[in-house]
Amino acid sequence: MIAIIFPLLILLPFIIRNDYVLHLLIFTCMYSVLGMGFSIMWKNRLISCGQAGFFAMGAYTSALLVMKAGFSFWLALPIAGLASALLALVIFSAALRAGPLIFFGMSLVSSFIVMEVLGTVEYFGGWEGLMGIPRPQAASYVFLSKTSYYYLVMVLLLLNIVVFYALYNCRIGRAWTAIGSSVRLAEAQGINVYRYRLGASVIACFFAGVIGAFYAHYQNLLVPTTFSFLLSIYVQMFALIGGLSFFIAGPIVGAGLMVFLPELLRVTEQFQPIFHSILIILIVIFLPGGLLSAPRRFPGLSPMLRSILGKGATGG
Amino acid sequence: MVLLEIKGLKKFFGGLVAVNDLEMNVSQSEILGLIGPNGAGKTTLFNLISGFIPPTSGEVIFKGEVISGLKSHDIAKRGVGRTFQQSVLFMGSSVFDNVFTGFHMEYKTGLLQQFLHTLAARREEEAIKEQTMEILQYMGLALLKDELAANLPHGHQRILGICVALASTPDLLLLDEPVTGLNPGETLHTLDLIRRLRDRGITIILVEHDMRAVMSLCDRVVVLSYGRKIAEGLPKEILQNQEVIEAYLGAEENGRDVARD
Repeated sequence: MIAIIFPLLILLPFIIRNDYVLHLLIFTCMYSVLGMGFSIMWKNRLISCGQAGFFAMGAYTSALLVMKAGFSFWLALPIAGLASALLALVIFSAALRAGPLIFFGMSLVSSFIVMEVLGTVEYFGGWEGLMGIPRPQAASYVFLSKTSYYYLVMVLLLLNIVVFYALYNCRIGRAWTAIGSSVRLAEAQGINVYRYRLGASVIACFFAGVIGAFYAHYQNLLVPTTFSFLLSIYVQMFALIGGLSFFIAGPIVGAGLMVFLPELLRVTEQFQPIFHSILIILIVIFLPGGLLSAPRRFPGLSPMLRSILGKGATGG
Repeated sequence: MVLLEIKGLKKFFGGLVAVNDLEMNVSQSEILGLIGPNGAGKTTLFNLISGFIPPTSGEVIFKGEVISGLKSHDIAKRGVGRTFQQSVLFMGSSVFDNVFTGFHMEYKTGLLQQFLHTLAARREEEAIKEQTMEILQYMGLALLKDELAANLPHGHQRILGICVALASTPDLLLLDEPVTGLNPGETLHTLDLIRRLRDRGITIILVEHDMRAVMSLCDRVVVLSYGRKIAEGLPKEILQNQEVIEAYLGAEENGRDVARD
């Protein structure tokens, strides 16, 4: 699998040769990171309704550090992640003491606050936004082409995947699974539920911040309303459509589908919310386990797909 | 040697007295039966000992250390394992993973080493996988190790619950109705397993409504009624205690008669 996918990812820009499709791919990668963050919290049965806020936190931190303090993008990127993680630590260390419901509420409220503060305080660019964010530079090479951004975001996404994969396949991931399965039994086994949940949230928000920094320097422009509550809902939808029990692949598939399907079907932008809503209703009715649960739910499907796509194309 | 001491333990839920002025000792390697009518406070007592709820007043002393007031996971770390009345398991995980996950506290390598999958961490994980298989073999679930916990029949789920509790290597094991809902064959098998756990040095407190099981298994029995201890002694003595017969055994007899009509 990896032997096929990896070269494909590297060669993709040369196969596609279309800036708009690359742009969509870059967004898919960013959304995947946000969705995976939602998933790692969902693994602990926490529902975050504020990933947009932490995404914004990273984006503005990096943009301001580079523009106002003269930091290099490469330094600002991890700092943006840490800033986001710190914000999550402060908010969620209080919220988690009161339980998952308060966590949900606090995540929602915090993303509203972040957006309001960014819009109201002039220093952050106000509601008109922050313009002219410099492009990343490596020695004399400036990131200009979509291809260069594609590689950059792909590196970040793969880093995220590797970290999450390592986490999920050790004691930490097993503790999260335990918490998600039964909080009481997890406690009886000596798992510090509070600390593990906090850890998952902080890690998720770190990556949301990092990808936010990428977003800032890719778009060169930050507008507070981009980071509205709606984006947080979209992040949840990526994870839901791909499949909530597929903690890494689910959000990636979901994000890909949500980005590309409307384009393929030529749904214009103003109808996209309607389209997305219909999509989510259909998924919930026919595939409650998400798209990736299709082989399990319809066992006849995978041999059929395999015969269409050729052997080895399905699976995972 | 006294392993667990309960001193003046009280728990009020609002105006309701769930546990009232309870005094109780449990010695090393004994099997103590906890009986009493529904609502007598047996499960509440388990929740108090294991820290799932804090006591209103009083103390729980385990191995000479006051543990009442500690968080449940901290009490688990000190060696108190428990099962639940309903089958509380990691339902979406396999039998093997249930027990493997249960070993959470037994790791010596740090989280960073675990995350980086260092050689030491992987070796330790392998060792814990072996221990997992040992428990499953010992308890007779080895053949079902790949089965989902949710798909197991009730009897096996009860035993898996004990397996998971064993993974935390407890010194004191609280079993909440281990044989309720089991058929006679399964009950005998489970009782035998519990005896073998005691022979390994694990102290056991169990709540159970199956009188025959309690009387054949337990070294000592404590009877609760309305949160108070009304009797304590050998199973034989308890069966002849007039107060117990009135409060509990008699009441159950009447209950049965009503049910028959």
